[in-house]
Formats: sequence, C-alpha cells, structure tokens
Amino acid sequence: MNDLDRELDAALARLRDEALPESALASVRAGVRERIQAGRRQRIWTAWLSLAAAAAVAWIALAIPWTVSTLRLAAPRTPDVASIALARPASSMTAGSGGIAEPSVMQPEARLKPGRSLKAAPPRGASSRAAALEKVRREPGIPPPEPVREEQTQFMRIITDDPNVVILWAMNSKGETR
Amino acid sequence: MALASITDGLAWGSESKEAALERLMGLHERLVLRTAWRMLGSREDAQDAAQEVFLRLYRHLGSVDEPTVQSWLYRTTMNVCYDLLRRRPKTGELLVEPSHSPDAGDSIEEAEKRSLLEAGLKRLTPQERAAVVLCSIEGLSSAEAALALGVSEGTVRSHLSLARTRLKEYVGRFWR
Repeated sequence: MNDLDRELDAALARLRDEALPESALASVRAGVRERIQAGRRQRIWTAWLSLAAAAAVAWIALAIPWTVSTLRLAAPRTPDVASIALARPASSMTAGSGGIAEPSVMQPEARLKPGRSLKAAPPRGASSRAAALEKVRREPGIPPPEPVREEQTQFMRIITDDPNVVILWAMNSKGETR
Repeated sequence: MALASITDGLAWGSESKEAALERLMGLHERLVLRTAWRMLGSREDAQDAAQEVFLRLYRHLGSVDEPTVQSWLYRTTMNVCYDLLRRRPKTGELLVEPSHSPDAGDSIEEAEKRSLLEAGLKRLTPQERAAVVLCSIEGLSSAEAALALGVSEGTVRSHLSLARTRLKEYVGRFWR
C-alpha cells in the first residue's frame, strides 16, 4: 500500500467522523413525524369512509326488501283462482237485479201429479209458482209437496295472465259443468 | 465498525411503535443521513431518503429484529438511494454539495482534500460509490456490505477495488 492509498483511507475515514448539521437531523425527525401523522389521519378517514360505505350498503340491503314487501301489501291482491258459491238460489235471481241470468236447465222442476200434462202448468215464475203450490195445497188428499231442493250452482272465476281474458266455470250440484 | 457493536440489543415489544421509532431514530439517524448524503451528494435528497427509510422502518417495525436493525437500515438506505438516483434526471455533472462546512480548526489543505474526495465520489457509478461508502467510510466488512447491497462479496470487492482505483486517479492529480 503506497502513500496515496494510506492518504485516501485516512480521508475516507475522516468523512465518517464529520459531524452532521443538527438542522438536517431535526428536519428528518420532523418530516418523519409529520408523515406518520398524515398517514394516521388518512387511515382514520379511510376507516370512516369504509364504515359509512358499509352502513349504506347494509341500509340498502335492508330497505329494498322492506319496500318491496310494503308495496306488495299496499297493492290490491287478486287471487289466482276465486271460488264463489252463490248464496241465493238460482231461481230467485233475475236479470234485472244485476245477477247472472238463470240458465233454463237450473230451473227447479215442480212436482206434477201423474196424469197432468205440462201444458196445463202455469207459466213459470216466482208468483205463478207460489200460486200453483197454494192451489195444490188446498186440494184435499194431496199431500203437501216436499220443499223443492234448490240447486246451487257454483261459479269459479279463473283469471289468466291476460287481464282481458277471464274464464268462468259453472258447475251445479249434479256435477254438470259449463 | 462491526454491526453488533452498535446495536444495544433492546427489544421493543413493550413500548409503542412511536416510542420505538423515536428511540431508533435517535440511535441511527446519523448513520442513515450520512450514508444517504454520501450516496446522493445532496442534503435535500439525503433528508428525503432518510425520512423514507424511517417511515419504512415504522411500517416494518414488527418484522425487524433489533439486533439486525442496523443491517436493515443500511440495506433500506441503499435501496432508497438507488431509487432516487434512478429517478433523478441525468443533467451531466452533479453539483458537489459539501456535507461539512470547514471550521476554524480545519486547515485549507484539509478542506480542499475533502472537497476533492467528495467530487471524486460523485464521479463513481452508484454501485462503486455504495461499496466505498459502506466499506471505506462506514467501516463494514465485505460480507456486511454484500448483505446490505444484496450482492455477493466478490461483487463488493470488485466494485471497491475499481472505485479505489478511480478515486486515486482523480484525487492523485491534486493531492500531490
């Protein structure tokens, strides 16, 4: 090792022992503290934003099903299939009363004495029928007629997907359908 | 100077991260700033690099053992300096900023020698400069420098030899 090597080593070693300015060291410390504080503030903001986002998502997830169920309850509910049993006898329904026109096959049949022809029967109707029954009751030897068993017709309304198409299904007690 | 002679072996498990960082900064801030200053040649850049090093230490405080913190600091300082040197625009000759202002005790000859040496360091490649800074200025062994630089010992010795040759060529013209 020559003199230049030794001189170089000594100069390099002296560089290590040089004192650094205190202002530079203080600046480093202050910068580190400031950046740590800034990072902490950013983490707090990020945590708050994440919390708010999670709360918003949770609120939406709860509010949508609740709103949908509320709207379903508020809307008029139409059953898919409705079964209507007519309380009034078919014979008492008239077209003018807003009811369904009575089909002829559902007319109650009057008990006729043997030998009497249908031609002699009074015209059908509520009043004529009552008069006929009273006449029969007044004749001696003739037992009072058994009360006519009123037939009930059940109507079933079937609603299809098309609001303009409604299927009415009528079925009497004999099982006859139309 | 050996690494083990500097570390005090204290554990920071019981103290807060901030307190541990403050204590480690007090112990090693000169080492980090001095190394970065020699590598970058600029006080501002060295301060930025030192701040970045201690921020990384703060983030990795749980994964760095105190006996190895000095080696970790050297390695991180070198990585940060390399990053800054890569990002620095190449504008030709860098302005040599003396890290030490001569006081009354310094002779003019000593001050000139120091300025020449710093200018010579600037002319080295970053790898050569790192080898000189770690081995010749900081006093690390080739193995410790290799660990800090992430290269083999042979590479460190090669860079160091080349750097010394170039330094002697540069300063020899003025020192004689």
